[in-house]
Amino acid sequence: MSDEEFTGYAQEFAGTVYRVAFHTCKNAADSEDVLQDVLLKLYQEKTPFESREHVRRWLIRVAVNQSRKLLRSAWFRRSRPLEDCAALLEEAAPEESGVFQAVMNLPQKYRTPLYLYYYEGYAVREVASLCGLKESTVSTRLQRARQKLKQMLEEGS
Amino acid sequence: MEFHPDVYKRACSKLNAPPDAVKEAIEMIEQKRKPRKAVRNLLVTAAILALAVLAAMGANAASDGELFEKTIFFSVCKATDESGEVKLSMDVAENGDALQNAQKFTITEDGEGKAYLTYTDENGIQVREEFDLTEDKANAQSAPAGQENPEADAEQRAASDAG
Repeated sequence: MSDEEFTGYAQEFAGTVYRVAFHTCKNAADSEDVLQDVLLKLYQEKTPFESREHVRRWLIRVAVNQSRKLLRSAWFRRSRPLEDCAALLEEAAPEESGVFQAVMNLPQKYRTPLYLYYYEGYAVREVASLCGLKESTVSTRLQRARQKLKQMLEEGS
Repeated sequence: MEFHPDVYKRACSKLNAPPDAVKEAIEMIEQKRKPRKAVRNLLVTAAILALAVLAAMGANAASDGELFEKTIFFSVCKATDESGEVKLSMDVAENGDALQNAQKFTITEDGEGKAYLTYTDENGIQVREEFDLTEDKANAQSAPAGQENPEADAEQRAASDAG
């Protein structure tokens, strides 16, 4: 991959990688670390990509794996920072902050499928492939996530 | 209150990677790719020196059918960096007695583009010669023969074409 290609992909997909990482890590510092690791892997990847969408999916898959790896690390288990996730949104309306914080309060296993399904627009089958899960598992997690969100948002209001 | 996917999507669109983080990642990877200038110059010099040594030995070996009797090869080649100095050591040997009869060359570079070649001559005396490794010299040394100064050559050709 040429430097120009790499820089282009990095700038175009950094946001996606960061958001995937954030939905797992729930803090900016770790999300940035994951972003750097993923971009380094992208640069080192020797297999040619077929299209920009191929690159995007590859990045998401690697970001999911790297985020999980961080989550399993002993350091992360010992020192998870408390952070107001919604405060990191740029000029968000109160309604947006409320919904986002509610999503961040979900168990981790629901957050990434929810993000990939609703924000990145992937179908259940594609989310399953990106997360390394069965389609039925993704469907169940999305359903339970919606139920929990409804409960949380009703209690909040 | 219900979960509205559109509200969630608007919220997510406002969560972006800090521009500095992206820039830092790109710069970090560019630095990993480019070798340090000192090591790069040193490697260029080492390559030129190696070719010069090979040519000299090869010419010597070409007489009396000795070309196929001598094998030139390099053993251990390493670079160390201590306080701005970069050293490259090479053992150049013939045939199979590589390490016993190795001719040791050491190239040391300071941080200002000067390099020194150190070796022991046939009389056992240690010799130290200076190379100029500034950018222009390195470019000239690495250019093909007859094109040591490509810019000057181009200007000269343009002038002679116009004349």
